[in-house]
Amino acid sequence: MKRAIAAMADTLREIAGTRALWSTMLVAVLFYAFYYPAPYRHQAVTDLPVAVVDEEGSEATRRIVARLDDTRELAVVARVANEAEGLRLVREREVDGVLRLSSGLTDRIVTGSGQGGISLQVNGAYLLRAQAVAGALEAVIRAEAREAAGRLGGDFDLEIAVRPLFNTTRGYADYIFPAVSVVILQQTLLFGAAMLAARRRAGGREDRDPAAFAGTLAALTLIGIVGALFYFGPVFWLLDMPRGGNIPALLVAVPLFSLCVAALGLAIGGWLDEGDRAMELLVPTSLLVFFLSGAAWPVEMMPAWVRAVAFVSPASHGVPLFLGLNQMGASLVEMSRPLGALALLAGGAVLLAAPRRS
Amino acid sequence: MSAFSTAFDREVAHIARDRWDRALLLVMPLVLLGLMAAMLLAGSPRELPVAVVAPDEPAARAMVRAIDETDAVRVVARPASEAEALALVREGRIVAFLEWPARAGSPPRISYNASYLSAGGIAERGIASAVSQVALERALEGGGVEGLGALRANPPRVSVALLGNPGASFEWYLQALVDPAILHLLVACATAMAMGRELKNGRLGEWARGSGHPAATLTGKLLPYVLIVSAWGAAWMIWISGVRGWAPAGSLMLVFAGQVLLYAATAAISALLVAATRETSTALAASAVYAGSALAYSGGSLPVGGASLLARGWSAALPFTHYLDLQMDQWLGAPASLAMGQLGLLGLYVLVPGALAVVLLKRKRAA
Repeated sequence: MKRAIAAMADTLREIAGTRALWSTMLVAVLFYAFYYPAPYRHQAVTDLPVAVVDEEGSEATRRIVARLDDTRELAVVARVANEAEGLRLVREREVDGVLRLSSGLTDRIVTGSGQGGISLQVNGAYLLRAQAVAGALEAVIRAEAREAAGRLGGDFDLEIAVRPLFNTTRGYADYIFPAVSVVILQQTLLFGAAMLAARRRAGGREDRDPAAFAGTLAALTLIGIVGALFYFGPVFWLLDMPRGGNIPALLVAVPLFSLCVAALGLAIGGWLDEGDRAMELLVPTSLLVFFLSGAAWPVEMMPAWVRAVAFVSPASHGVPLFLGLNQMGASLVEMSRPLGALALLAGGAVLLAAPRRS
Repeated sequence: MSAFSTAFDREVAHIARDRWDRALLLVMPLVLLGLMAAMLLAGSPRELPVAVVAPDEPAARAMVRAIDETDAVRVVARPASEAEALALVREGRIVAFLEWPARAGSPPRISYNASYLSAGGIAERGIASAVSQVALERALEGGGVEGLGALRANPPRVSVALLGNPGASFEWYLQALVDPAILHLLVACATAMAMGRELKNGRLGEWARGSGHPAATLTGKLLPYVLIVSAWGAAWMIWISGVRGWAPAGSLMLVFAGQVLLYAATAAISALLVAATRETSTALAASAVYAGSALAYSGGSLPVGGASLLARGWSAALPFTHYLDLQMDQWLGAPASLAMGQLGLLGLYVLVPGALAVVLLKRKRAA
């Protein structure tokens, strides 16, 4: 035990005395907390420029155009004579879409029959923007039709209540950053641990006995815990991330996650020939690690072998685990799947990283 | 032999010899891009797991069948209460659920997991379309005043055409964002490491002095990396457009030219970072910051138009933003004249950091 504590203190001293290590594991964590969410903090698509072809030119269509312009998502920046003209503006990237309100539309809304219609042609290369444009348009048309039906005494209501859970404002930063923060915590600790192990190996200073190894692992896990609690506490509060808060459960989940990442980093670093290799080889995996976590693309959609690869990235379990605890207020029992997976992975990583008996 | 070809040959020999650099340049792109390709092969999220909370009666069963028949979702559970359904959401077993009211009058309610905004939103729209379809059919069958009201309340259909991505394929969209960003980050790390190898006691001077032509030596040294990563970029474009069928309406060659310039710019920035910081680890950390976040700042997912001035300025300062504009515009079919400006801009990202790096090398040479 004494040896382990001494090794832990040595490791912390080594980290504090090596710029590459403290800048990766401490400064980078601090920096990313504010740098990464900055381009998402406005939360939603705003004022995408669209062009309108108003063939009917009636009171109703003018009202629809004004309503579109009033939405958060859209700004009507051009009125064009025909669709071809609008499409030219789309291709020249002046506008994101062109909307055609064809004649007979009012009649269609009022009587529910007739040929009038609405067509939207939108730049689909940016799928997220295209969905926002189409969604805003559909909401405006639904509201208009409902009002028209109300004026005429129609009492049938097709309304469906829609309730976004946990991220109740459907904010984009509120969706991306809680997941990305787990990836940031993983990658910075993984880089640091691997760098430390590789530097020691290059210098012939590897941990030679289980006690020294346990001390090193404990020091790195501690740094991971501090980083995670910093994110899940003050950073989420400052950025006003959704909080469903199962804070006591973090006392179990955070150490397990940090231990798993630290052990994996030590295992990887033990293979490498020098400290900088860790960054060179691990940094390019960051985007993939995020996608493997299932935050942006559902895990159910991944082929089995991709899921098998995803299993060895702690973030694949950490993202559902911490979204569950921090945003959704899930219990530890409800999180037993990711917790079990992390425990298994942590055990494997410790076995891989631990010094071999000679 | 010229300084350029000496440096080029020396670097190729190094890559052939060093197993880690070989792995980074020849194996990792295949693994990273291959995993992305396999992950997204389904194209769009389908058959997402959802639940229905409803009394066990014929109308509710018909509703479950209608929801099951949609592409987007399938019903995997029939929890008895909202609380049970919420627990299933928290456990990650379902992404959305419908509460079908036992009595007429109160509207049906769809709840979805907005912490997974993308999948949750798709599931919500899938359920909503099934519900409104069923409700409308029933009202019309019923006829009378309610039927007429339903007809009137049925809003005119909005036909939406997605230009450049008619099938709303997430496979295309996400790969278009992520794959070039992965290669951008990879070449940033590879070239920072390569430049770092030439540091002797924190200086590049000795290495630069060796040839007499720092600019030629620098170009020769970094070119192998740019060529290899560009080849992976070409392989990705063949996969996405040739094999998977996302042919751009504009020019594939312009996109490729943009990619080569982006990777060359990345190499030039690495050279500048190592020459300026004189430390490999700092240059690698800086690469992780600017290239690792390039996608977030590009506006490819959430447009940066509404972001702070600082975020918008940084977005415009990053070369990847301009590459992504060029790529997406060409896929949409923008005129080539638009691409020329973007290519010119990317060219500046090669020349300016490259020239600055050479100036620093020369200064050290004099020192």
